[in-house]
Amino acid sequence: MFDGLIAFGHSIATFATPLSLFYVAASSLVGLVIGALPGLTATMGLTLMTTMTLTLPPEQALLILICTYVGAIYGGSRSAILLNIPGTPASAAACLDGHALARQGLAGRAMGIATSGSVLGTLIGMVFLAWFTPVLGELALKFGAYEFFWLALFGVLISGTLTGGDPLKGWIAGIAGLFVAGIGQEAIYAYDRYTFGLRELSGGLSLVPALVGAFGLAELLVTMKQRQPPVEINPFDSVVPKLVDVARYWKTILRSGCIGTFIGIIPGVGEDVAAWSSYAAAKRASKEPEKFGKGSIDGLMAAETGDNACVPGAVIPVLTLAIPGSAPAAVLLAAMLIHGVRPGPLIMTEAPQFVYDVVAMMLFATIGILVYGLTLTRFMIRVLQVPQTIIVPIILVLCAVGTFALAGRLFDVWTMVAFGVIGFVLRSFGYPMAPLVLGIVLGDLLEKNLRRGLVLSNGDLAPFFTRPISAVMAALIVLIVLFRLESVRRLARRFTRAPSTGDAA
Amino acid sequence: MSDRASGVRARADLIGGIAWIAFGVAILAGALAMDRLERFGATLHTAPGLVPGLLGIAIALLGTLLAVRALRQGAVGELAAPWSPSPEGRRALRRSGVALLLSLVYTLGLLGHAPFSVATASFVFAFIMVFDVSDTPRTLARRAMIAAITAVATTAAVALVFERIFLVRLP
Repeated sequence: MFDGLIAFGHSIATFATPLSLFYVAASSLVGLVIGALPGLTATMGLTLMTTMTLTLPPEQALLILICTYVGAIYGGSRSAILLNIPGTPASAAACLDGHALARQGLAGRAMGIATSGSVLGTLIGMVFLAWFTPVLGELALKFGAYEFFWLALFGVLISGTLTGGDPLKGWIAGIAGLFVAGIGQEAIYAYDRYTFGLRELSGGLSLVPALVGAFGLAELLVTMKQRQPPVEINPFDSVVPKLVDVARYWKTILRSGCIGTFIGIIPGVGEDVAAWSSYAAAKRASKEPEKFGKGSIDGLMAAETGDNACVPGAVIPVLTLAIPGSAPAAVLLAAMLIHGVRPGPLIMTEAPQFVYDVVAMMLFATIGILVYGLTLTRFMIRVLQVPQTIIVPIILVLCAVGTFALAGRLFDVWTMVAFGVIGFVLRSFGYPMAPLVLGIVLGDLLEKNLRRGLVLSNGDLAPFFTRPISAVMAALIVLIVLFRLESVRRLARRFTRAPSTGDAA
Repeated sequence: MSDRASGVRARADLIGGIAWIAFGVAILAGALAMDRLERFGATLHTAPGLVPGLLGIAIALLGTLLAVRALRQGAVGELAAPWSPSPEGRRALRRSGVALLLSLVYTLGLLGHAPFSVATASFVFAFIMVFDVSDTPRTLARRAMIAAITAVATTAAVALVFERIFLVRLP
């Protein structure tokens, strides 16, 4: 306990330098702006910032990325409240009550609630991050090749199930991502797979260009589909959070913080599911559920606390299992690997201080959004009024230049463009991007552990199903797939209906 | 969702399902054609084609499920119907098509072939001009001035940040 606090104090001291504080201020602002602008998401912001921070020391680069992440998730609430357009998918739930409050002339109060919910949500998630990471790290030490194989598959499938409207399309996207990860030389014999003689493909498709394409270019093309609606801002009151709102809704804050963090820990699910789940739980627990959707402070507080609590939650599996809890966390994981940080079960033994560094980064990011939440209202309104026809080409230039900067080769830019086009087409037909990205990130882990497991068991599949943790994960995967398949559900309905029909007859 | 919209979606899913089946089968064929590397002591469990082959099978199976579901939703009847998107759909398609074309010209045609500043400034200028015409009621001179200022400022800022601050080479 005290060791942890001392380590945390040491981490805070590490980042309390003028340069680090400048990075906190700049990256929180960048995150806030990216999150607030409709069409630009936290994942896109993180991919762009990853390309721009390659030359920085790892701890500074990760500080920038975490501040951008927290800032972007919070920033989405601004456009949700002021424009009724979620800045990021995570803020969709905040639109319902946030904009309803704005229409009643209470936009300032709504922004204050969003600020207090986001700050407290991140803090609750941060406590869980500090508390759970060593515990989960301990548990992860029991994981072998079999468990890691199932965990990678579980992450892709659960992400496919929960992040899109159609699980079948989510699974297809996820498995396509797993396949993409296998392109290039495989790990055991360095055998070229699906490279078609292209030398550049032998090293595999670089992760960051693929992410920038799928989340950057594809999102920009989707954004350009629709003409930007005229920006009309309702008059607003003070944005300073009211202590009475926090005191009155403390149960909602605690509940949503726990739900958000827990959903963050589940691989590949992410902030939007956390916000909606917290919102639904608050509505169920509320004495005034009829007010939800019509300007409920309880609802807005729940959504904003839940999505921001998800951010530290999503980092927990990144640190302990090297498996991302959300799409932006997948980019964070990629950035860690690029910077030579090796997250995984051994992190608490090899680099325990790094875990507390990440907790301290979250704290600085929280301070960043609190300061900007209280001070930058008029600036954010100006930002929201910039036409998308000006923002989109600038972001596109950053996508191309940032991708090129990774290794100084145009092939990465072409990879980015290819994934952008593929991502745009897939999105247009309702395929979610999060499982695709998770598949690309987890493909290597899945393949290595499947082959390693088969070698260890001499080709026997039994250990994949008989070891306790493996058995539970395999059963979970089977249940997820079966219960989400329409044909199985239809069959189950037929079985459950048959006896009642007989009774009636 | 209206009957027409769900029919169109079913037709898209049927075509998508068939495409995924073809993709899965192609992956599987590629995996089967891979060297088994038995001379290096590889077994079936360590053969390079094992995992891609399994993934190919999974993609083909899921594609089959998608196609079957689309068929149940009446996709066959929709196949004969003319492909005519709504005016809004046509507009959206045109806008994203133009954005994609400009992006392709910039990333594949200009970057690496023309000086960075010329390529970037031309792209930003052209993008703003093309979309500003349809989106805002500004005069041509004002539109061109905004586009030119944004283009020059973007090029200068990107060059400054990447080349001077992050010390990386520009394309």
